[in-house]
Order: sequence, then C-alpha cells, then structure tokens
Amino acid sequence: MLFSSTTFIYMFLPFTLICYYCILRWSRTAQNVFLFLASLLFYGWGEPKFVFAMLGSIVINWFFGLLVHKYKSENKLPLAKLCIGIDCFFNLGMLFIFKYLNFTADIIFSFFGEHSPIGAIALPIGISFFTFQAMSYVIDVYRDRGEVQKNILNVGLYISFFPQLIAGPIVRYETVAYEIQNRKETWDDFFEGFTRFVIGIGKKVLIANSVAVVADEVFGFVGQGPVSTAAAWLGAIAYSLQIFFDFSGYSDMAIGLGKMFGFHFLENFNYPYISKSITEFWRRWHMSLGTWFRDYVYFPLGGSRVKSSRMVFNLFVVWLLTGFWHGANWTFVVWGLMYFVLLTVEKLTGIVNKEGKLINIIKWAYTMLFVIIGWVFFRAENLSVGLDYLGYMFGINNQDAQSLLYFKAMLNQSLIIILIGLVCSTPIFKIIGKKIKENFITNLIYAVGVALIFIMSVSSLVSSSYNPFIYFNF
Amino acid sequence: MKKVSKDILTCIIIFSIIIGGLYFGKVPDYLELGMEDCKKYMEENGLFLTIPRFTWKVESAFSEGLSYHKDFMDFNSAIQNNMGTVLIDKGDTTVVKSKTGFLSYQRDKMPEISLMKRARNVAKLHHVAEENGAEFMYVLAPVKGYNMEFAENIEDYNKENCDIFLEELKKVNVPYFSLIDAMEEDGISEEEMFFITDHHWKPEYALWAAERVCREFKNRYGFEYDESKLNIDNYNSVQYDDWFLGSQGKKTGQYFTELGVDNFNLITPNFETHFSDTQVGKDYYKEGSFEEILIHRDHIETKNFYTKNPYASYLGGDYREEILKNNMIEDGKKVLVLRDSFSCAFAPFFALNMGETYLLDMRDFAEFAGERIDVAKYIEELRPDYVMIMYTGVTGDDIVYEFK
Repeated sequence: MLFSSTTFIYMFLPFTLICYYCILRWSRTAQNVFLFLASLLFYGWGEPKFVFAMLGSIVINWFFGLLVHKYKSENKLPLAKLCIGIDCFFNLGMLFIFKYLNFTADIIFSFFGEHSPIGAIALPIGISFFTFQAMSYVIDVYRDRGEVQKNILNVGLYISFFPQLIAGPIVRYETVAYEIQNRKETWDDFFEGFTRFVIGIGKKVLIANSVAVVADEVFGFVGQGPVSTAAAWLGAIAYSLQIFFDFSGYSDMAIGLGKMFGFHFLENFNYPYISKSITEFWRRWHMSLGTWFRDYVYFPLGGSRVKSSRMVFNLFVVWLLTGFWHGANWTFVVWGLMYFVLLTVEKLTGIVNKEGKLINIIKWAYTMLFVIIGWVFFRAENLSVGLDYLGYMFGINNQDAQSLLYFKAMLNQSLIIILIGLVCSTPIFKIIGKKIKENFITNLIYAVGVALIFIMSVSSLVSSSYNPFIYFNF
Repeated sequence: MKKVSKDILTCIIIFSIIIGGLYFGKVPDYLELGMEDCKKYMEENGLFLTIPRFTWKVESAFSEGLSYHKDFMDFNSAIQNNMGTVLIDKGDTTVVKSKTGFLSYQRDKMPEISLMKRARNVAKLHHVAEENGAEFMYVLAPVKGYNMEFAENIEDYNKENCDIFLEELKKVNVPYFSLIDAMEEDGISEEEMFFITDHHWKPEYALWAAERVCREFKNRYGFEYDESKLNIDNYNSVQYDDWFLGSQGKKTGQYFTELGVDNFNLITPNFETHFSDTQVGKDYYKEGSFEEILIHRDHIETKNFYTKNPYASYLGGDYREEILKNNMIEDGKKVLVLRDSFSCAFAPFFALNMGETYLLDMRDFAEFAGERIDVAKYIEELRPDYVMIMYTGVTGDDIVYEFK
C-alpha cells in the first residue's frame, strides 16, 4: 500500500488510529500486536505472498537476538559473534537470492557465452530496508544498545512497522528499542506528526510526481532520437528533483506517522541540494543509510583512524556496498564508486575545506554537478544509456532543430513545477517560518496552507493514475 | 505551545475534510458493488488472482466514493491547466490536450502485424458478404487526433495507425471509404467535427457522415437514397449550451482545457418518420417517430457533467444487437452495420434511407460475457443487401475485428 493513496489516507490510517487510540488504549501489548498486524496488512496489500518472506525474517532475527543475548550474558562472546555471523549470513543471503542472484548468474553464465537458466525472481517490496533493520536488531542487542525482545511480536513490530517498512528511513534498533514498550504518545506529537505526513504527501504527489513526467520523457527518449543538451539537462534536473522529493517526501510521511504513534525516528534528509561538498551532501542525503553503513561497516573496518591506504580501502568497501544496496545493476556500482572517488579525494586533499563567498558558489556548483551526473547513472537502465545521456548533456551527441522544439515544449509544460521544486529544495520556507512571529492569524494561514496542500494532493491522486515511487525497488 | 496550535488547526481542518469526504460520500455503495464484482470474479479465477482486483476495487471506492471526488478532479484540472500540463495519465488511457485546446486520447503505435491481422479478418468477412450476395464496405470513421497538432514532445500514433491499416485494407482488396479523406474534401476540420471534451463526432457531423456514406454506396453500388432526408436544412435543432462534459473531460476534470465544456446540439428530422427499435436479448421493443424512440431524452434533460452523457441521447448508448426498422420505406434495403459508439449518432440518420438496419457491436458486454456473435453465420441467415463495418480509426481492441 502506498501512503500517497486514497486507500491509505481514507481507510487504513483512520481505521488504525481509531483502533489504536480508542479501542486498544488500555494495553500497550494489545496496541503493539495491533500495529504489527496492521503492518502486515499494509505490506501484503496487493502482493500478500511477500508477507511470508518478512515473517521468516522476523522469526530468524528474533531467534538470533535471543541467542546473542543469552551468550552475551553468559560471557560467551565468540558464540555470540558466531550467532551474529550466521544471522547476517541469513539476512544477506535472503537479500542476495531475491535481489542479486539473477545479476550474479547473468555475469557467470555470460562468461561461458550462455544465458542464465534462472527465471525472473520477484523482489519483495522494501526488502533492502527491512533486512538492514533486522540485522541492526541483532547487532544492537550484542552491543547493548537496546534490550533483547523476548516477545516475538515486538521484534515483528520493529521490523515491520508500516511507517518505515517499505522505504525507510532505516530505523536502527537502538533508536526505538525503548519506545517499543515504553513510548509516550502526546497530542503535540500527534498533531505535529500528522502535519509532517501531509507535507510529505505534498512533496511526493505535487512535486515528485509532476517532475517525474519530465524525467521519464527525456530518459525514455534516449536511443530513440537526438536529445538536445538543454533537454538532457532539464531531464537530469527533473530527475534530481523527483528522487529528492519522492524519497524525502516518503521519509516525512514515515517520520510523521511514527510520531502519531509515539515513535521518534531520526531525520533522513536535511536539504542535501544546498551542500557545498560531496561529504556534506552525504551528511544530508539518506542519513539513515549513511549512518547505518558508517556504524555497521565503516567503523568496524577501522573507519578513518587508520593508515590512508586502509581508509581508502574502507571507503571503497562502503561505497561499493552502498551502490549495490540500491540495486543489482552496474549503474549503481558506477554511481557508488563515483562517490568513493570524490569522497576519497575530498578526504585526502581537504580541498573542500576552503571558505569564501565565491569559493562556496564554486563548491556548490561542483557538488551539484556530480550529484546530477550521479543521478543520471542511477536512473539509467544500463551503463550504455547512462553514457549516452551524459553525451547529450555535454553536447557530444548529435542534435537537431526538432530536438530543440521538444525541449521548448517540455520546458513550457514543466517550468513552473521545476521552479517550485528548486525553491522547495532549499530551506527558504524554514528560514521564513522562523522569522515570522506566531499568532492566531499566522497559524491559521499556515493551517490553511497545509490543508490546501492536502486538497491539491488528494485532487491529484483522484485525477491521475501516475504515482510512481522510486524507492519501492530497493 | 504556539507551534502546537498551528498543527492543531491544520489537523482540525484536514480531519474535517477527510471525515466530510467519507460521511457525505458513497464509499459503502462503491465497496458493495466492488465486492459483488470480486465475488463473481473469484468464482471463475480463484482467490489468488482476485486479490489484485479486490485491492483495486477498494482503492476505486475510496477515490470515486468520496463526496467531493468530482470537485477535487475539477480543482486539479484547473491547477494542471494553469501549470501548462498537456497530458493526464489515467492508467488505462492517456488524455492529451492539443494546441487548440481540444482533448484527445493519446495512442501508442500499434504493431503492424496486428493491423495486418485485422485487415485480413475484414477481408474474410468481405468474402463472406459477397458469397451471400451482399455488397461490402469498410468505413473508416474519423478519429480525434488524426490531424490535430500537439506539443512537440507528445507522441501520438492515431494517424500512423490509421494510415497503415488503410494500406493493409488496400493490399487485401477490401473496398473501403475513409471519412477522414471526405472531411478533407469538404474542408471540415477536427475542431469543427468533434466535441472539445469528447472523442465522438457532433450529431450534425454524424448526419454529414450518413450522407457521405450513402453517397459512397450510391457511387459504388448504385444505392438510391433520398438526399433531402440527410439535408440539415430539414432538421430541427435545439442547442444545449455548456451542457456536455465528454468522456475525455470526465477523465481530466472540466477545467483542463480553457475552452470549457461543450454545447450539445440535438438535431431531429422535421419530416415524418416512423421506426421500430428492437434491442435483441434485452426484451426491448418500441415503435414511434425518430424523436420518440431514437432520442433518449433522459440523457440530456438534466445537466450533470459527470453522471450524464448527452451523446447517448442518440440511440441511448451501446447495445450488442439492435434492429432499426424504417416503417416509412417499403421494400427498403437491408444493411448490417458492425458498429462502435460512433454509430450512436450515425445510425439513426443512416437508417432514414434504409429499410432495415441491423447493428452489431462486437465489443464484450458484461451481460453477454463470453458469448461472441458469429457474424458470418449472422450474414448467412440475414442475407442483407449491404454489410458495412464502421469503426473510428483503429482504436478498438483486436476483439472487434474477430468475426468468427
């Protein structure tokens, strides 16, 4: 089920809230069981068979969580570590089968000039997210960053909780371990969370879906005819806006919904497109994934407090995995490795530490240039399309008068939404909001504004079937 | 505290909107209909295959059943219009706005093999007709979008599909008549012929088409007809201003085009007519004048953009099998027409010069699910004078070209 659907807004959410707050308010256990079951319904809506994959993951991780806790408390650390190893093997194995088996088999068989005999394997929605969360549970239990859950339903709730289930943020166990049993719902959180949810819907439906039309059109045209340089840039910028508003909108919805039920997830985005270096960009973009890799891969490998060559290796491993995490395609590998190179250069040279007005503009331009190039590979079906697209962007491939007409037509249809997207990707409204003195009138204006966003979003949802969601594939 | 109060205000307003949409809406009715449909579907296809249909029905109910569904669609159409959007994706169809503000369905390129197959099926029917002593003609009714100008980034294959199909018909020696060519000869533009928000032709151009088709039958097969019955000067006309939101407008919302909604011109003969109308398989039989039985006023009497379809005031809509007998003509010609919705407005005028007009709609109708009409057998039994297929462009499913 999608948050940005009338079924969720008008059926699932009201029903869940009424049951949670009115019928089950007397028992935390009942509330948790209900949220777990509701999450299964949410996940299985339309594709119920994948529920079993997730249930399997819940059972295994709950079991290993208990084992790790047992051995840890008995001071049998090697056994505890072995359990973590087996648990990771299971989780990554499941991820491998669903997500990477075909890719690997294709490579192996292509060496022998043959086609892989393995048929298409359907990808359970959000498997990359819930697998990483599941591993986080067992590891955090070992690290004493959260209580072990004896009740399997609580582990089930942590892994499958519907707000963050299918598109993150990746909520680490330590973040919500205490709140699973001891959270305190407040009206402040409830109202704030709902407002955040509505703003997230607006980002997703009004901006991401609109710019997606432009991105899809331009990327779809690659290989079919000449694309003008201007159109290629328009498409790349449109996609950059799409992925940001799509994903950050979904994160807003998830964080908001979490708050409505008393959970406090960490932020996932912090205006990444104002970054003045790639390092800063990754502190602002998909923060939950970055910190996951940092805490569970980069630091265990030694982090940056090691020899330069080792640090470079550590970075290589992290960014190779980050690329692969997004999908089984060479485009994601190239995308990840591009960031490895850029981050290594930034770390080793310290080149981005220089300050100054003009320098900051140059730094921002450099950052955005590579971020946009990165998104081109991220969006491309394969490396060849990605390279062709880059060729269009930098005027290498041929173009004709017709392609300019295409560009003008596209620009006419998308200029307003692109401009809105560019403005909204900066913290301008946040800054204005802080400067405005709050009183009833300003609050009313704000409320009406958010309500208008809601009406526009629902209007769009009931009018059009175009509602793509990028991170469902991950 | 202040921060909370603005969030509280936001929640109060939005919860009111949500509750209002549900309370005053018809979600339970839609759900009931949807569940009935799912039950039937499950009996034939099993539980597993019914799940996607079930979720889709629930989603539709919580969208279409909201009290303000149409208002929200209109609101969105105004936003899209002002933002410069020219394309609305509706899942099964895509509506595009032309440079002149007319709405049209965007068509993908059809595989040539499919067009070739369709042409071959038509050729087979042509032979069947000839073997049974009937003259045959394929009439290509105009398709909206064929000659329309769209933004440069819009790809539309209405024209290309039609042209390839006509080429295929030529290759298999099917006698055809293109009303698109006739439009060009008579200097009629698509903007004149079609509604702004609907894919059908206006009644006055359905009358024009009836005359052109009769003329073509005359030129090819010596068919004699009374031209005065197809002369618009001999018709009464009542114009309903701002009355009609067509199927394309219903999909986008009424403000997607700045041209607004359509006027509807109800034209009826001002000379004496008498018909009998039978809808086979529906226990429907009526006798009376053109106005009394071929005009269904319930579709036009009241104005409602989303629930009424004034175009269906001609013939009342689409039926699988319908027989119009013209009681003013003795020993008139018997014609079999394989039709689509363009015949709703066309057939009543066309029937004025025919003795008996048999209309077969080859699409699947829910009440006749799985039952296909064997057209060859139908021709053998009916022994018509003329057999005619008239479809708009080549937009229908392959199934309408399967005559058994």
